[in-house]
Amino acid sequence: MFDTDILLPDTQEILGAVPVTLGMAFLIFGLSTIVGSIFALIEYRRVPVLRELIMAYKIVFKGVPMVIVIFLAYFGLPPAFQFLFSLLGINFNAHETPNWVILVVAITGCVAAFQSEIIKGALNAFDTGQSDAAHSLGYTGGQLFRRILFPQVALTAIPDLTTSMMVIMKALSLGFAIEVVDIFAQSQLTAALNYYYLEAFVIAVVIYMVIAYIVTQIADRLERALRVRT
Amino acid sequence: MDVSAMIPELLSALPLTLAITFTALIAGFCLALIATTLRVRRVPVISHLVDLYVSYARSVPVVLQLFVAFYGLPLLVALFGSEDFFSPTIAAMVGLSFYHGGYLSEVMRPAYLAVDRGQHDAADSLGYTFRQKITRVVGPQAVHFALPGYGNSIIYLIHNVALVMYIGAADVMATAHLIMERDYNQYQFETYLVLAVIYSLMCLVAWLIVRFFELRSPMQAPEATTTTPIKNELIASV
Amino acid sequence: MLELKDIKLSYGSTQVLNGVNLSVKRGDVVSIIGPSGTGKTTLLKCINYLAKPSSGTIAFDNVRMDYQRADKAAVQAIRLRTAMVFQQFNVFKNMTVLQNVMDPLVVVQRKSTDEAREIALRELERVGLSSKRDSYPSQLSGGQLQRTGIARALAVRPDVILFDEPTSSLDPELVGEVLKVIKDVTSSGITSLLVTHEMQFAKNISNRIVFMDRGVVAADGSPAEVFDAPSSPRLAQFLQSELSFQ
Ligand SMILES: Nc1ncnc2c1ncn2[C@@H]1O[C@H](COP(=O)(O)OP(=O)(O)OP(=O)(O)O)[C@@H](O)[C@H]1O
Ligand SMILES: [Mg+2]
Repeated sequence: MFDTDILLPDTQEILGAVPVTLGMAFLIFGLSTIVGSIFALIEYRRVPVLRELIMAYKIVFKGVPMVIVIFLAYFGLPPAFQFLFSLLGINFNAHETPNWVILVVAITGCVAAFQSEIIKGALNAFDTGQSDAAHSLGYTGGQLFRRILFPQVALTAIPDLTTSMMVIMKALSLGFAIEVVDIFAQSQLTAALNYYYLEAFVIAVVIYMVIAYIVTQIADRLERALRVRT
Repeated sequence: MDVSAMIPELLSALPLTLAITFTALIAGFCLALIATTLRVRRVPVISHLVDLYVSYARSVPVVLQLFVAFYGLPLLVALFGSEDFFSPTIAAMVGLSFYHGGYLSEVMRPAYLAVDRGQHDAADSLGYTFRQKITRVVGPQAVHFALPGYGNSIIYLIHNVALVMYIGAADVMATAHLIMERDYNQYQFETYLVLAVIYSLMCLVAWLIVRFFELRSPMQAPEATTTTPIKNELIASV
Repeated sequence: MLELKDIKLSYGSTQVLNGVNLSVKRGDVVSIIGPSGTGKTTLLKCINYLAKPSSGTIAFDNVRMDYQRADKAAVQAIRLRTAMVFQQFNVFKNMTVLQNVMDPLVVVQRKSTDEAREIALRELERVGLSSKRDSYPSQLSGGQLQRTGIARALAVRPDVILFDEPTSSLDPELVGEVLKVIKDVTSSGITSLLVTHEMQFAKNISNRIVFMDRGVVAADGSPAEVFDAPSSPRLAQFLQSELSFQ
C-alpha cells in the first residue's frame, strides 16, 4: 500500500480540484461577509422587527445541520426561484439552476449567520469614544467609517474570519451529496476509479491540512502587518 | 401528504444516532482530556504529535474524517488480528470520537490557561498536590470557562452525526433516505424539514442541559459574566 | 528559625535576586520594603518555592534544602509550615468564603470536616467575616477577599506567615480594615514577613525592617535604625519619596 505509482497520479488528480474549491470558497466568503455585515449592522443599530427576524434566522441555522440545509436548498430553491421568476414575468427554467449555485447559496445562508456574529462582536469591541472624537473633529459619517471604524473592525475580526474561511472550505465537502466536485468529492471519484480508497483520502487529508496551514499563516502575517500600522 | 406517518419510522433509528453521539461524546471527552494534558504540560515530541492530531481534527472535513476511519480502521484491526470486529457504526463512532476529541481539546486548553496564575500559586503555597490542585481548584474553574464552548461542541457533534450515513451507518438520516426512495421521492423537501426539526430539537436539549450547568456554576456572578476571559468560536464545525 | 543564604534568581536575562541573605527568628515581625521591581515578592515566593531560585539554600528549623537540588519532600514540609497572603488575594473563586478556609484543612491536613469547620469559623470570626461565610468571591469587596485570604492562611496554623503587599491592590477606603487584621495577627506572636509600601504601618508593627534594593538586602535593622538613621543615600531617598507620597 501507499505505492508511489498510485500516489503521484492520484495527488495530481485531486490537486486539480483545489482551484475550483478555493474559487467557490472565496465566492461564499465574500457573499456571506456582505450578508453578515448587513445583519450585524441591523443588530448594531437595533432596527426593530428586522432585528428579531435575524435572531430567529440565527437560531434556526445554529440548530440545523448543514447537510440538511443543503438538501433543503437542493429541493426547495429551484421551485422557489421558478415562482419568483414567474411573478416577475421572466421566462426562465429555474429547474436548470446548476448545483454549484445551489451549494453556494446554501452554504452562504449558513455561514452568514456566523459571519454576522463575528462582525457584531468586532463592532461591539470598537470603543465609541473614538467616534465621538471623530465627530468632534468634524469627520463625516463616511469618513469615520472608512478611516477609523472599518480598519479597526476588520483587524479585530481577522482571526475569526480566518476560521470562517476554513469552515467554508470544509463545508464544500458536503457538496458531493448534490454532485458538486470539490477536493473531497474528487478524492472519492479518484478512489472509486482505482479502488485505492485510503490512499486517495489520505492525500485529501494532507491537502486540507496544508491549505489550513497556509491560510492561518497568511492571516497571521496580515494581522501583524495591519496591527503595526494602526 | 402525511408527514406524521414517517415520524415513528424515523424515530426508530434514533437509538443508533444517540448511541453514536454518546460514544463520541464520552470517548471524545477522554481523548480531549489526554490531548489537553499533554499539550499544557509541553511534553517534548509528544505534544507536537498531539498538535498535529488537533489540527487534523479541526482542518479536515468531518465527512473525510469518517471515510478515513471507515477505510483506515480495517487495516488497524487486521494488524491486531481480529477480523469480524468492524462495522460502519463502529467506524462512525471512532471517526467522530477523534473529531470531537480534537475539537474539544481546543475548548479545554484555553479554558485551562484562562485560570489565573494566582490560583495555582495559592494552592501550591498551601501544599496541595498537583492532583488536588486540579480537582479542587483549577479544574472546576476551567470547567466554568469551558462550558459555553463545550455546549457548542456538542451541538456541532450532533450536526456531524448526520453525516454517518455516507459510510453506511443506519442512522436517522439513512432511514429518511430509505423512506424517500420507498415513496418514489415524492416528499423529499418535507422529509428534510422533518429531519431539520428532529436535529434542532436534539441540539436544543443539549443546549438546555449545558445551560443548566452554566447557570448553576458558583462562579456565575455579575462581573464574572461580562468579562469571559476566553473567546468561543462562533462558527459551526463541519 | 528561617535562614535564606545567597539566593539568586533570574527571569530570562534579568537577574532579579542577586544573592539575598536573610534570617528570621521565631516571633520576629519583619517588614520588607524597597522600590518597585526589586524582587520583594520574588523573595517571599522563594521561601515556599513558588519561585525557583537558580542557587542558594534555605533552612527552616530542621528542614534544609539547596535550591540546586530541590526535593519535593522538603518543599512540601516548608509549604505545610508557612502560609502566604497574596497581593491579588488569590482566593479560590470556585469556593465560598467558608470553603476557602476549610478546604486546605480537609484536603492537605486531612482533618475531619467538623473539625475543619470549627477552626474555619473561628478564624472567620477573628477577621470579622462570619456573616459572609457563604458568599462567593465574586460577591465580595477587595477588603473582604483579603480578609478571607488571611483567615485561610491563619487556619492552617503556620509557623511563619508571609504577607505580600496585602493592601496594595485595595481601594484606599478598604486598606484600614485589612491593616487592622494584620496588626492583630502580628501582635499575637506569630512569626511574620510582610512586604509593604505602608511605611508608617511597617514602623509600628515590626521589630525589624529589611530594605531591598536591586536584588539584594541593602539595609537591615530595627525600625528606629532604618527609618530614623538611614545608612545609605538610596535608602534615604526611597524613604523620602515614600513618605512624601503618603
Ligand atoms: N514570572 C515572571 N517572569 C518574568 N519576569 C518576572 C516574573 N515575575 C517577576 N518578574 C520581574 O522580576 C522583577 C522583580 O519582581 P517582583 O514582583 O519580585 O518585584 P517587587 O519588588 O515585588 O515589586 P513590587 O513592589 O512592584 O511588587 C520585576 O522586574 C518583574 O518584572
Ligand atoms: Mg510585589
